[in-house]
Amino acid sequence: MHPKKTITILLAIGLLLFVYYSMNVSPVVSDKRHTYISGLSWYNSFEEGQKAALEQDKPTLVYFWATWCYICEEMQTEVYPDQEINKILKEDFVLVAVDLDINKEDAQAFGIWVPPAEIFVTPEGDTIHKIGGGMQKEGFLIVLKQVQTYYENREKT
Amino acid sequence: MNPGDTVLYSTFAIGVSAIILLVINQFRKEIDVDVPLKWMIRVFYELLIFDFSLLTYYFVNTNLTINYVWTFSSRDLPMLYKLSGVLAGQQGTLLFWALFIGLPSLWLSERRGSSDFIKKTQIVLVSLCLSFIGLTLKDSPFKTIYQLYPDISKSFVPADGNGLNPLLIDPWMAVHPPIIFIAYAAMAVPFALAVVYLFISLKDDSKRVQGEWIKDVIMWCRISWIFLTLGIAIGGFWAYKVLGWGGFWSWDPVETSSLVPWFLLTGGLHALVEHKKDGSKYRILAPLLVSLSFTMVLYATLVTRSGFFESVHAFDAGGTGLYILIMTVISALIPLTLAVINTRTEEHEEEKDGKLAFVNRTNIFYLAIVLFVIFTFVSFWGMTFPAISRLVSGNKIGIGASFYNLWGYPVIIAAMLLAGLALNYKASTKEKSIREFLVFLGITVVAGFIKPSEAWNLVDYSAIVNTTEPFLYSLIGSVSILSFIPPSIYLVYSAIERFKARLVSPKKRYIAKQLGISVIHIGVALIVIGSVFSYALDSEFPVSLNSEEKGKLTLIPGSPYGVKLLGYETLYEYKDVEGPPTDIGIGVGEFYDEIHGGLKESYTIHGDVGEVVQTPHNTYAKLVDGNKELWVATNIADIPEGAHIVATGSININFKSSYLNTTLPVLLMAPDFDIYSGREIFSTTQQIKVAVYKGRSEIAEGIAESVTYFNGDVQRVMIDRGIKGDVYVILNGIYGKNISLDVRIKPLVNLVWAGVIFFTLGMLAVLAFDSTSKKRGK
Repeated sequence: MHPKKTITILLAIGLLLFVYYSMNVSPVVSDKRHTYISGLSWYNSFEEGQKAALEQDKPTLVYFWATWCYICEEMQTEVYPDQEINKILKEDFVLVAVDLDINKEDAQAFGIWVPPAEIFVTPEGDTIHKIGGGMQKEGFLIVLKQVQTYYENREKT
Repeated sequence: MNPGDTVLYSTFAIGVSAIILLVINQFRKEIDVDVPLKWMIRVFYELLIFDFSLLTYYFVNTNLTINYVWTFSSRDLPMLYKLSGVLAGQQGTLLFWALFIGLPSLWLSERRGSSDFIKKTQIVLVSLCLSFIGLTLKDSPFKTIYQLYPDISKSFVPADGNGLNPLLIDPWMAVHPPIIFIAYAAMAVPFALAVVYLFISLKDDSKRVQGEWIKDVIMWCRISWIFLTLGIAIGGFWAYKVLGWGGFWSWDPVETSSLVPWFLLTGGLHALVEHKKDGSKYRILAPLLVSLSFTMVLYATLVTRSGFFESVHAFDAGGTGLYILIMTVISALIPLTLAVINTRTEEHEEEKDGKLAFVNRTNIFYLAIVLFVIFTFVSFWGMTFPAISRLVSGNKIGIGASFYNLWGYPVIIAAMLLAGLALNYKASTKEKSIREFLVFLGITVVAGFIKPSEAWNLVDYSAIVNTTEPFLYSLIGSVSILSFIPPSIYLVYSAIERFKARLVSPKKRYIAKQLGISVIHIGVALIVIGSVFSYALDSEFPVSLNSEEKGKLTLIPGSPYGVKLLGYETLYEYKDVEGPPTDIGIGVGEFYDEIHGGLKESYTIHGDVGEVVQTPHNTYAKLVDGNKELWVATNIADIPEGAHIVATGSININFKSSYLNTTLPVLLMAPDFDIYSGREIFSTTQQIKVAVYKGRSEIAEGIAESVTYFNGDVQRVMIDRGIKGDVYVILNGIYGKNISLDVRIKPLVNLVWAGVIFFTLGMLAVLAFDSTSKKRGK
């Protein structure tokens, strides 16, 4: 057969296989209400998160991210999945993940231009601590514990 | 109607008339339209220049009654950023685009306006230009606030504009948009030429215009390519400098969308070069690739501007998305349909050169073009498919950098090896070429298994969000990045060998052009090595410094690095603000005029503070109005001299102050006191000076800043560039005594910028010394 034709046919088959395969293996990161990052379930909207926070009397971690964000990937693969961090987040925090590409409203309300960013908020909406950027797990664990201590003391007073 | 729109409508009308004239001429060749057409296009273009200048003038003067200026600028921006405000939003961009499609149209008209081929091209080009003028008119940047908000009083002028996004206040960001938009607009020319060529080919008289078409299309493709390359690279350079995450490329949909036309255009250029040598080769494919690269430019605009595809870049929607979508579809369908009809007449010629007949120049080139198409498609799919999924199911699909890195890897490696073969390929020494190719292929495969550490994996396994790796992904992901080295060496070696072989030519221009080609291909190796290694082998260290420990070296645990704080300070930048609202209360002069009729219980008085005296309990401020004076007492501390104030309270006559040890003739005791300072903080900059050490020796020193503007914050990172790599320091913030930093070591990152310079200089040489451009005059 003519080599150019062969190459062209192989190209067409290859591209179709690629489309099929990539569609099948790509993970669903979020649906309408929740985002699934690092084995945790996050609310998509700050408002819904705050409702849950009031009910459960827990501080909220608002995580600002984007699918193409390089440091977010590090946060999501090294920091959040860490056993101890994961447990604290699951049990003692209400989680909100703001996708900068989708939830521009919340991103704007917090004045976040660039992912990642992590903001800790009380159920009343006061900011406890704000981190602009990513963190290593050791540092993030310290911050988590500080926020917890602050939150507990706040309740006593 | 405002003057800008009036001119724009006239421009549109003239453009439409020019097209009518051009179309009439196509059917009635005996009617001579050359002279009127030339003038029409001149006027058309001059009006466009006028319109764009008018918009720029509004920005230079910060005419806040123009809604577009009010949205994207403010009075205190430096001139450079006032100018970049013109391209900060969609409307100005569309006009700029029309302007730069108009420019080549004028150039073609002036030089060869009477050629029938050019006239046909003008029909396409002027239509495209009109589409953009139409889009501009739909949502005009010239609209005044009074037109948009009829309730506003005609005398109202906003005090100040919204200002520019602080991330965009950077010199590189001032040049990035115009360069990329010039590239995008310039690509309309090859599109028009290619579509017309495909159209003429239908009647099978393309040979008649062959010479004309190839000269123009190659030149405009190369010009577009230089601008596009620079535009993309400057965007990356800016991101590296301003976004503060230590990277220059994140595969976000907008970045990817600018790379898609780049790949297609580069593939198209390769096809064009072959087509130029032999007009029967790639008679369809070359114009098809070239025209589709402009289609992809429109698609990029859709991605950037419509909000249809989400990305931080996606500015404001403005409702033009649908129109751009229609334009994209039309601009894809026309060349595709023409190409399909054309294939019926394509003849196939087989190149025969003995043994291993399938290895020949034609097939190698074809394979190269195919690789460009594959990479284009992978990128296109990566940004399109999540959007489709979201539209259809509402689910967001996790496609991040690793998707492109994984799928791009085999394509890039194959392309580099193939380029190595192609650059140095000669039919006479074919077997030697193939042997070399196989040797490098073998070394590449071996290198794929050698990993000094886990960091050398192509993709960090765990890098895809919340999922277990599919088999194919983890397979490619576990390849060592060392495998990029042999193809790069092969590419550089072949590029040099190729040039050496061309040196025998007596023609200097020819040699200079060949040097350009080699330099561009060496640039590929530099960019690949630079980007791969600066990403994979970068290291990041969070550091916390105590602001009281200046000069102390803080070692970073688990690394050979240390940081020394050399100094820190907080700087304020002020801007002048408007005085107090003059409709509140009365001036000092008016007060003295009024009190002749007797004192009232309470007065509201405004004025400028001339002198301030601070006592333990009160602040006394002297208001001065010409030769009239009035003292005001308040419990507010720190009243700046020169401030404008509005104070409400009761009047005391001949007030004796023991602290001031004097009698004040008239004193306003004002519990209600507002300060309208003459200036206001524009930005607050936390600045640190640090030195980074490796072991005991200093490797970098510089200033990192964290700046807070009234409309957002931005980190100004410290970058100490070096041949081996960059030391990159981000100041996260100063909290009390605690200074929080990130230190990043980015190896080899400057190879990327060197590669971009190679690309640009190489292509400039090719453009300047191309033999076809010399022949043009004849």
